[in-house]
Amino acid sequence: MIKLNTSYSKKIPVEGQDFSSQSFHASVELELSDNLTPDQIKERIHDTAALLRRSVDDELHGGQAAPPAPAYQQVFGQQRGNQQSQHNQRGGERKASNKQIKFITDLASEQKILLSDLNADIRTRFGVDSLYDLTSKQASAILDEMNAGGRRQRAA
Amino acid sequence: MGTLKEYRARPHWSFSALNQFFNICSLQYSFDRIYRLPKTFTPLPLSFGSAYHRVMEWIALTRMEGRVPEPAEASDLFQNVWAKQVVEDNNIRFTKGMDAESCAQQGRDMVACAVDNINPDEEVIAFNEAFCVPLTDINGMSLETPLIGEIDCVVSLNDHKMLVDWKTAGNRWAKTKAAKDWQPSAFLYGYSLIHGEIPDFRFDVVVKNKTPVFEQHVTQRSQDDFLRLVELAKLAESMIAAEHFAPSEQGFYCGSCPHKEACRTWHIERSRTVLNMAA
Repeated sequence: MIKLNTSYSKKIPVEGQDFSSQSFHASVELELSDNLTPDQIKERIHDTAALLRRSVDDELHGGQAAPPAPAYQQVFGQQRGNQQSQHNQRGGERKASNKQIKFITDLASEQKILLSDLNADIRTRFGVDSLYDLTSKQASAILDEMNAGGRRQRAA
Repeated sequence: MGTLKEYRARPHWSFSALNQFFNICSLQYSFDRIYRLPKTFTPLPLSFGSAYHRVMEWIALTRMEGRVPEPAEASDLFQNVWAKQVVEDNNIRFTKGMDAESCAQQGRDMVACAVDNINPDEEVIAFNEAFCVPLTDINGMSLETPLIGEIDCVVSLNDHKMLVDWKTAGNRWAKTKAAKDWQPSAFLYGYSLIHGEIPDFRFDVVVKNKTPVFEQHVTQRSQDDFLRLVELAKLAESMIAAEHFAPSEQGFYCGSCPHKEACRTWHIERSRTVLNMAA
């Protein structure tokens, strides 16, 4: 039997207080079958984390206005991500988000593809020098291909 | 290749952010980059360095076009650029004994010194080359936040490539400084991921003596240094998420910090927040 412990915590500022924060935390423990493959375990972890995240957010939003993002998220998180989607556009096309690029680089690592090879590939195909110069659509297309490639690799 | 301005629009890490967080003051980092407090003044080294940098860019461009400029041309350009910089940064805090005019003279002498020390055989391949790369750890997992930067200059001499960073300094550099500095680690990491090679890194430093002194400090980095940098970024992210910011009160940079007032009352604000939360 495999035990999966997943927890999620979220920090938000106390309204009207400088340099403040309050924490919200939820955790869940699941038992998984021993027969699961590493990929299946990874998928369960991902699904459980997503469920916890949604649940904590739902609780926070229930009855009250949605809280502002914590200060640190303004630098690293979603709020800046939203700003990014407005600012980071060229020729009307939204740039790939940091999250998309992280998925690509993690998949590349899983599939033993060197970043320099990946960069060379996108240079040839899309005429850009780095992953972060891709548009959101181009990044999605690469992700789809890599996911399909990963599935083929696993099936082989 | 994207521009630094474009890369800055996304959440990012940079050498200067990591350096500020770990080596200067994590509380100053939080005031600047998390809570975004307005700066009460512009430190002189920042304004002076910007003007110096602009002139060095022009020198690099001129060299790329196949000509080494005359020292007097660079000096005159500094005079003009500095005059604009003073207007642009209208709240510069001058250090003791310095004013806009004396800084102009100092800058004229310093850029002339930089030109005097150019090796005419050295070829400028690129300047102001921006990069944005994932920070990937030893397990192949990347941080969501990439590392960005802008390489001042890429030069080549006898087919030997080198990244160059232009610096001004109040004092001569210690011999060990370049080897310990995180900037070569960050910039060579970025360059290697884009170009697939790790060249050497050189600081071209002009020291602000009465008669300026030109120094070059060459250093190398390896994959091991890159992995260390990634771990530092990971550590910083966890500390920021926990809001672990502390004043570095005996630090070298404390005297010229533009957040002195906020720093002085930081512990009171922090205590009040904890009390309110407990209540």
